[in-house]
Amino acid sequence: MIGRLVFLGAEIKRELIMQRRYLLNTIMFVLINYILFMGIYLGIKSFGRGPDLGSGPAELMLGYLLWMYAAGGLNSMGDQLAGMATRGCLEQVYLAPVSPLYILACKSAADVISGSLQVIPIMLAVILTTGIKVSIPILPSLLIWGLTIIGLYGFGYILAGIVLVHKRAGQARELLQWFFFFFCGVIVPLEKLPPWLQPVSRILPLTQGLDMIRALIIRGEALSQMGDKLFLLFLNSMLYLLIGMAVFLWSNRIVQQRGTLSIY
Amino acid sequence: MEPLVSIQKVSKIFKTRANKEIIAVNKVSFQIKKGEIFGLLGPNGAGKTTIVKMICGLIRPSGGKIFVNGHDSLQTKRVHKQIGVVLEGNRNLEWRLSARENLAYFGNLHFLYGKGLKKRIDDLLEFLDLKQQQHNLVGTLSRGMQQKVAIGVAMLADPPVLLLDEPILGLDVESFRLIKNRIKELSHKFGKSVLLTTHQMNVAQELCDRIAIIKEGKTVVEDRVAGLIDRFSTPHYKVCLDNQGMNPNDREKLMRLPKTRFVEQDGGSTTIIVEDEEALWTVLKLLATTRASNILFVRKDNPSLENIFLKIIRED
Ligand SMILES: Nc1ncnc2c1ncn2[C@@H]1O[C@H](COP(=O)(O)OP(=O)(O)OP(=O)(O)O)[C@@H](O)[C@H]1O
Ligand SMILES: [Mg+2]
Repeated sequence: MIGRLVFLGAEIKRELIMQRRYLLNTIMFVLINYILFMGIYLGIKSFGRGPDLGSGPAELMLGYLLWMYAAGGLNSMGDQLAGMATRGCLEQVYLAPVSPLYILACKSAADVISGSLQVIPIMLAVILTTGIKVSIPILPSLLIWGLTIIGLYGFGYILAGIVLVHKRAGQARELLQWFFFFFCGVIVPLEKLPPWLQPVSRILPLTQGLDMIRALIIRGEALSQMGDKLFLLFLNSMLYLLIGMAVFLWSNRIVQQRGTLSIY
Repeated sequence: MEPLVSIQKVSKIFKTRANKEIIAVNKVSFQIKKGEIFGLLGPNGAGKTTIVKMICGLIRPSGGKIFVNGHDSLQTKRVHKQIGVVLEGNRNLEWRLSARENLAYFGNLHFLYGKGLKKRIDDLLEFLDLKQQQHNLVGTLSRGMQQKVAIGVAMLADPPVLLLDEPILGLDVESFRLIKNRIKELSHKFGKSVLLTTHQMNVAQELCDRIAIIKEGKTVVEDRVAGLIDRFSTPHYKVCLDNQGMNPNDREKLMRLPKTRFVEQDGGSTTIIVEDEEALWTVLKLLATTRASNILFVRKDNPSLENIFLKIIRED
C-alpha cells in the first residue's frame, strides 16, 4: 500500500520537476489560459450566450473549466503513454511491480494534479480581475464532477489502448472529444438533439453529470435530493471505467504478443 | 539448488504484417543458478533480446514456460520484484531527468523511498563512479554514462536476478573494466544471477561462468566456458615466417597444403595458421626442404571463445 503511494508520489514529483524545468512552458500555459478565460468571460458578457451551463458568466466559465478537465481525462493517459514511448522509458516503467492500469492511473492523476496547480491560480486571477461573484456549491459540484470524470477515464483507457496497439490515436481522440462536446449537452441542450440520439446521449459519460451540476447551480437543487441520480451516475461511470480497463488490458496483451511495446 | 531462472522449451513466433511467421525463438531451454553469470551469445537476430523480454514479461512466449525465482513469467508483478533489467539500446531512462533524479524516480516506482532510497542512490553512484555526473540530465550524458545509469536503475531494488542486454555497449576502456568487475562482484560476491548478452566474445569468455550460443532461435550449444573450449577447440598452431628470401614458388606450395591458412602481416612477416599437428609437420618439412624462409616462431595457440563461436555459427 505504501509502495503504491510512493509510486504515485514519484509521478507527481516527476511532473513538478518538469514544470519547474520547463518554466517558460509553464508560464506560457498559465498566460494562454488566463487569456482564454478572460476572453470567454468578456465574450459571454457582450453576447450573452455560451455553453448552456447556466446563466451567469461564472457558471459558463465553470463549464469551460469542466470541459478542460474532461478533455484532460480523455487524453492524458494516451498522451502519457505516447510520451513515455517517444522518450524511450516506457519499457523500464512497465517493469515496475504494478499493473499497467495502475501506472496510467498514477500518470494521469499526476497530470491532473500538476495541471490543477496551474489552473487554480489562473482561476483566482480571473476572479480577482473580473470581480465575478462565485456562488457555486463547490463541494457538491466536485463530488458530481469527480464521479462524472471517472467515466471519461474509462474512455481515456480505451484511447491509451489504441495508442499502445496502433501507435497513433489522434483521429479517435478527436472523434470522441467532439462527439462528447456536441452530444453530451455541453453546448447543445439535450432536448435539441435529434430524437434518436437522445437516448444515446443520456448514457454518454458527461451527460448525466452536467445535467446534475446544472440542476445544482441553476435550479438550486440540493445534493440530498439527487441520491438516485447520483447512484445512476456512479454506475454509468463505473461501467465505462471497467470497459476501458478491460480494453486497455486487452491491448497490453496484444502488444505483448506482437512484441511491439517499445516500438513507436 | 533451485535455479533462479528457468527457461523451459520457450518459443516465440512473431507474425509480420504480411501474415508471415517469424520463429524468433525455438524451444530454447536453459537455467541460471544463484551466483552465476550466464552469457547468451548469438549473431544479430538470433533471438537474444526476445528471450530477455520474455523473461521480464514484456513479450509473451508462444510456447514453453519461464520461471524466475519460482514465479511464472506471466505473473509479471511478482516477476518484476525479482529482476533488474538493462534493455537493449538506450531505452531505459527518463531523458529529461538527471542521473540522480532517474535513480530516485525508478526507485520510487519500485516502492523504495526515504532515507533507505537516498542511501542506496549514494551507494550506487559511488559503485558506478557516477558522482560527478549525478546532476546532469541523462539526455546530455554520453552513451556510456547513460549505460552506467541504466545499470544503476537495474540494481536499485537489489533484485536477485539481473538481466543485462548488451550492457557494455558504448563503454570506454575504463568504464568497461569497472562494469565488468562490478558484474563479477555482484554475482560472485553478492550471489546475484546474471543473464547477459553481448557480441564481444572476449567479454563473455572473461565474465561468464556458462554460456549458450543461439542461432536462428535455437540453442546450438550450452556449456561452461571452459568446457566449451575443451570440447570445441582443436589444437591449433601458428607458424610465423620471415618474408625475406621467400620465393613465390615456395609460397604457392605452402598455400596449397591442406589445413593451413595464410595471414599476411605487414611488418615483413607471414603467419600460417595450421589446424592440427599432422599438418604442422607437413608445413615444417616443406619449409626445411625448400629452405624458403626463416621461421620466426612456432606456437601452439590458445583457442578463444571467439574462434569457437565463429566455428559453431558457421557450420550447420
Ligand atoms: N516485434 C517483433 N515483430 C516481428 N519480428 C520481430 C520482433 N522482434 C524481433 N523480431 C525478429 O525476431 C528475431 C530475433 O530478434 P532479436 O531482437 O531477439 O535478436 P537479437 O539476438 O537480440 O539480435 P541483436 O544481436 O541484433 O540484438 C529477428 O529476426 C527479429 O527480426
Ligand atoms: Mg538484441
